[in-house]
Amino acid sequence: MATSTEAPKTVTLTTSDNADIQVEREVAERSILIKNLLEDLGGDSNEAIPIPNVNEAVMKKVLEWCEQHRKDPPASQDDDSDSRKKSTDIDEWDQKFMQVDQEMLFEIILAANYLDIKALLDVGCKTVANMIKGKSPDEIRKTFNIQNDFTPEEEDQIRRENEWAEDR
Amino acid sequence: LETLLPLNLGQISLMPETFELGHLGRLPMELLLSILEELPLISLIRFRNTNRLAHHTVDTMPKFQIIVEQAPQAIRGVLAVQTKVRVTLPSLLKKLRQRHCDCCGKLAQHLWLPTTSRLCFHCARFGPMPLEKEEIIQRYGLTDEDLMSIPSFRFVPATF
Repeated sequence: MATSTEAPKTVTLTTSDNADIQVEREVAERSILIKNLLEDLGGDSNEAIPIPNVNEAVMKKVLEWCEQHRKDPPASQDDDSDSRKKSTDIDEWDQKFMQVDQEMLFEIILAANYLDIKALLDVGCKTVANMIKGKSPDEIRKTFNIQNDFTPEEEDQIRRENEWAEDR
Repeated sequence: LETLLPLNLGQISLMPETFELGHLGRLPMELLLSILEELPLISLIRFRNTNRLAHHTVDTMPKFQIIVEQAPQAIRGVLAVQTKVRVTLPSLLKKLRQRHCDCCGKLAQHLWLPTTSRLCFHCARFGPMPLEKEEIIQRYGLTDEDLMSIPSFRFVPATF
């Protein structure tokens, strides 16, 4: 059987807009989807792997993250709840990495979800959560372009119900 | 508590015209849920007040439904004391389901709101007591800025 030393060092990924990206296998394998695909194909395949749900710009961004985190230990299933709990904070590099426009942020989250890169997905979700935190409903609407469709009466009632919560 | 915080935990009718969550609408529901579960309770309630679908989304979160059904006062309580300890839906639910006291391990009947700890009667009675601001300053010689950095909460006016 093919061991990791015999395996080709790089793989080619074909994005949705038909761009070929060469990347080291170890980096690409941060994606569980790609890792499983490569395993299924056997170690010696040089075929390009189609990634039909992710375009080149987003893929490059995702791979940039994978490159940075290539040595991270794979997330195990059981420490899941604990590691999530203490994790309001995002590490500094990731914070910088996530300073992109909202369009790109959501693309990255969707790609991480599709490619099955759990740690990146977590960072993305936390980034969005941080965008909601500490904001008033009005500010949240503005941030995400959410339409306010309550009737004036309902709004009034909501405001009354929530007055006590607004002074912080 | 209910008269003080008339927070309506009931559901709202979804009028068919708008099914929009703005940019957040691009995310599949399961991702949106995991984002909402990251939020401190107060932010979650604020998000719920942004529009109908947001309201509905929060109302139909399984964890939210369970707490609203079993322990609505816990939500009101946590919001009322405005604790500086981060309380999310999953963390609150976990505490509500916990049977033993955080201090001594005996069966716990109480939820200590400022930190959402479970306490048994004895520990709740003789355990952590909050200090008034003046007391703290006097006793520990702290400044106002120090105070900002340690957990605090708001008293709920109550009549006995």
